[in-house]
Amino acid sequence: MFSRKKKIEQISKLQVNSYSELNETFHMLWSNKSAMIGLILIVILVIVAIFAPFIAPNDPYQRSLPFRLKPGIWSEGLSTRYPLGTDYMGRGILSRLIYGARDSLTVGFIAVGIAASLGIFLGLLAGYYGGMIDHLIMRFVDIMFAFPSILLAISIMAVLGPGLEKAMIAIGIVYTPQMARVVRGSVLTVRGTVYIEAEKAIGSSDFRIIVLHVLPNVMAPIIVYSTLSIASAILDAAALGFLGLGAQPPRPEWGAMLADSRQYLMSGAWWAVTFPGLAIMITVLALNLLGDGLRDALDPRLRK
Amino acid sequence: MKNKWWIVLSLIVSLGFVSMGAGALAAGGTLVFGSAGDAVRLDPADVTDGESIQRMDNMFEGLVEYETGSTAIRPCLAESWDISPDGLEFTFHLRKGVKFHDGTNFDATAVVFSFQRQYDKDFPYHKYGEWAYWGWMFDYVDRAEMVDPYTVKVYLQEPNASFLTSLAMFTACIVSPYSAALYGADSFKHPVGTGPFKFVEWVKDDHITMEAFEDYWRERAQLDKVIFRVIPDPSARLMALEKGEVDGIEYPDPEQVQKIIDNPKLKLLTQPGMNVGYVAMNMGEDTPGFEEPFGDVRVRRAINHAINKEEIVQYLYQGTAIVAKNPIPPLLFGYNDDIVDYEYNPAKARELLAEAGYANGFKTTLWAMPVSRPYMFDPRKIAEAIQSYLADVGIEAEIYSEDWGTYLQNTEAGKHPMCLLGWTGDNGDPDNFIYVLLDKDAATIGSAGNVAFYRSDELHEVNIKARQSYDFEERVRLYREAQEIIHRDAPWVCLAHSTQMLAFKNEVEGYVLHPTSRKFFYPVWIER
Amino acid sequence: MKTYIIKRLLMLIPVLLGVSVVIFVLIRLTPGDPARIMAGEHADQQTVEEIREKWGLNKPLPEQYFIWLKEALQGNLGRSITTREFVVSEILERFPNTLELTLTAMIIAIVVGVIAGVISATKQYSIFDYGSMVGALFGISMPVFWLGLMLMFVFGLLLDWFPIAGRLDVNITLKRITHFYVIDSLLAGNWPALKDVLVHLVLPSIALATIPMAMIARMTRSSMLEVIRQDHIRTQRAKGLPERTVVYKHALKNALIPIVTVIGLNFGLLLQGAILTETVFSWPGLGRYAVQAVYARDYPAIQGSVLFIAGTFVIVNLITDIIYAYVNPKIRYR
Repeated sequence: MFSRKKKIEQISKLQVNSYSELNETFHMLWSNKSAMIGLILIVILVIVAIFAPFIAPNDPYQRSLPFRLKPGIWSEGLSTRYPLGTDYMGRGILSRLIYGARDSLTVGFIAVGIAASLGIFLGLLAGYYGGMIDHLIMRFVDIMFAFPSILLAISIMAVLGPGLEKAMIAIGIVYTPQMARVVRGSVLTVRGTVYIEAEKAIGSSDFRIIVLHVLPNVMAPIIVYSTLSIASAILDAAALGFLGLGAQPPRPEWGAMLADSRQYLMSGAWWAVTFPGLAIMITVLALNLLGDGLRDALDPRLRK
Repeated sequence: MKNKWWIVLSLIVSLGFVSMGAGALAAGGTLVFGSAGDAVRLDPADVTDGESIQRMDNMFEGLVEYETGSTAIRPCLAESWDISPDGLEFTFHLRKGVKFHDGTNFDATAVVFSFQRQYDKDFPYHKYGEWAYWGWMFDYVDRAEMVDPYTVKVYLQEPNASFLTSLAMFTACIVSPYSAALYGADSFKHPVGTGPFKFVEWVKDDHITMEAFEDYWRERAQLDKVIFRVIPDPSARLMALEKGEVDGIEYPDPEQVQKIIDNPKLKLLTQPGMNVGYVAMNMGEDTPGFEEPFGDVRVRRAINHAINKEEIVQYLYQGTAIVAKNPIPPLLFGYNDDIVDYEYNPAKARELLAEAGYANGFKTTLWAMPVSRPYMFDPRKIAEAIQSYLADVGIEAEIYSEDWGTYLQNTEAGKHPMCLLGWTGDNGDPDNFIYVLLDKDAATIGSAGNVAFYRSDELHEVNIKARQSYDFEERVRLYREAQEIIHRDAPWVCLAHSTQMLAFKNEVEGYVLHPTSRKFFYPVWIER
Repeated sequence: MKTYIIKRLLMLIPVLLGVSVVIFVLIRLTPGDPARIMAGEHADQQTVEEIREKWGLNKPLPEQYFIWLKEALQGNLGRSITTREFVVSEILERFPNTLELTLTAMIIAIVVGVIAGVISATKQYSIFDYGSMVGALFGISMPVFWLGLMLMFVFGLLLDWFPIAGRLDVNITLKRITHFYVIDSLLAGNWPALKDVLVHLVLPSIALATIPMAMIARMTRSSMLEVIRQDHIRTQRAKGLPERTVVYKHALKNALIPIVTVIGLNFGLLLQGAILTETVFSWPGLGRYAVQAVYARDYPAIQGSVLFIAGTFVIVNLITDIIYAYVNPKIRYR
């Protein structure tokens, strides 16, 4: 398992130790063009998601069967009403994509939020206390690592039943071990520092030490890893949606939109499948760009 | 219903082929058939799904068989039979000179073996199967006995007029005792019957090959080989047909039916289906899924008014079905065409809801099957449409799906407030729809066929009368009455009767659709 | 080295045991009744009960687990509930299919990825560099099932170049010896079959290869860039060795460690991707088998296939680690 470990180890070492370093980090991020493109895209997506009712040209839930599976602006006819065409229920695809941004972003953030909170807890326990607790947690993490993540997510979904909220939980659980490992690795690098030894010597409580000294020091790797994880969480949620386990109709989640329209691809309605896929790709791309940029900016090796 | 003309047209065409069947034939050739799924098992008594059954239909035979394209029966492995005056003893006189594919002779031992292994728990071969259909179709059979090598007697516990019809089902097909003993627990992988085709190989999830049986007791099959190839995706299946990789396919996607009609190299065989697809509203107050509103007939009628069936049939079934107003399809006797269906009228639906005290609507859950069924090609899309119609009248329905096995189990246990379901007839009798799906006898929690848990004493009385009567006219009258009662009480929204469809290359001739969707390739040939 | 490998192998046992417990618990938590599924659409309650008893589904859970474990240790994973076949033989029948697909994808990913990465590194900031790196970024951001569908639509339907489903045309007969169809057709010298097998492999393996290809290209590029800047490579260049020799013989050799790691990492990813790719292309592999087993609540099949996939996953990771430790001896003494 060294392979995944290695990536995690690299990230665990990222640290920001002073304000000047923080400044430098922001500076690097600002001057990183691709990271900025990613950031701008994400901001746009968030704005679209928040203001969906004002932006969307039509009601994303309004059925109009006589207009089902009609093409968009590239052809004659209904193009002005439905710029990206309609789906199998005659709903405008553009409007559904705009509303769907809400679901896809929420899934990403919440799933990773769950993973981060559980992961931070387990990682802190394991890293800070070490010994038997560490051993137990890490063996459990090893076991979870032995599952291909999508297979584990599918099995958890089989227990929880289908639904977008449940998909968030399943993905959150699946991502927890990785997060725990990042945090643990990072805690190990700070545990031996003079600060903490000093605090211990004056008899500060573990809680105080963890909150005041350990946690701030492990935030950098958590942020980088979370950004990258949101990207894959969105992909995995879409995959669950594709397998029929994620969002349920009529929610316009992108993966489910793609899956539900899949059968119409072969009868020529390519737009119903292509655009949701593009939307997923652009979002994931933006998150990857930003995540890579953050990692570079926080990497002390590159900073020098 | 812009597509109605082709249904009629292809019916005429397929009838034409049947009548041509007697002409000069070009023997030989391989027919590759694109199936939607793989067989589960290859033992005729131990299969329950359409995919396994269609493979059985070509390798096995029973004592009696269906006449071509109908549910009437005619002799097959039994040449004739006598029925005792009390209707409890059936004596079958078996056909001589019939051979199994393994070379052994067909005789009374084989018949008794094939039946006894299903009903006799102490019989050594009982443990090799689940025999689920026997309990369903033949639980009134007491035992089968050999009288002499070519005579078998079957004893019933109570008279049952449908016994002979049921013997034409795959469950009662005769297997070779010699091979069953040879393969033991693995018999389901080595099917040996007396049918026109003989098993060759089975590559899981890929294909099953069978070849013409040279010693068949009737004329040898026209085809040299039949291959069932598994192509689960409907588009891929049609594409394989268009490219010529297969010669015929089942369950074409309704969205692509027009493509088949427009293709001069292909033909579409269609037949009004012996089925019904419906929405059941759970009226059983003692069931876990019961919700207050559905106990009120006004709400149930409101929902009937809220759903635009014409639109569903036209756009989601793509015209490959007819709108249903009764629980039985029009081709069954006793169909009541005088019933006036609840028309699509959202305003009226809102009024009825308001009358019932739900002016602001209510929240509920609509269950939808996760899989394509012969009576509903895409249940999830239909559920989504219904969800949206219900939203128009203020009812907020969430769609719920789970795997097919669990779905059946949970709907039978009444865990749903509303569910989509359907039925394909087994034997062409209205009793097989109305009693099985709507009688109070069938509304037992945990094993309900009546998933609306509609318990009408009035209907029950009519059903029992119709069941026991041998007077055809009376039965017709009673079933017409039953449909009126059901219409009035509205336990269901009857959605559609879908059309049975198969697509073939033009060269494939002689195929006749069967109302039960079973697939017989014996008389088929390939024109060259 | 030997002790390192033995130690790592021994560590596999508790991990796999843990995997089997986790999956066992998960499945049993799942609502639904397998006995009901086996009985079929029309069965009555009595039949269902009989089946439950016959398959031991009425025993307490720990007992069911230990029975399963005892059998599993003897190489018997039970019979599938839906097909009644031995799960082991069903898995072994499908595993080569998955392996053939993933290996083909891996080869494509390595060859294209490494070459693109090396060229990008040597021609840093060229149009090719930008093009391939932007392409790689898109590559890692794409949902694999969507890519599969798009490939099917464009190359299968519109252009009609490749078949869109399955492994082999049924009209072609091929004796199945190894179940690796490429090898089987080579062994039999059956050229039409070989051609058909390869044609069927094209779309699914490209869909599956895309993400690892992108990752390998990115890793090769960055690792090559680091190496090229190092002194000894500069020296060799100064000595007047041909550029091609410098790049491929010396620089690439030194850049190999991270590349090997990323390849190992990606093999695991490929197994995951295969689950979705097989579903899209109706490929009769182990991933699709596992997903179908989950849908059908086929307990023995889920347990068997997940354990098998997890085992493969763990072993692939182990091999990567060993190779890594071999090329980078510092690791194993930690």
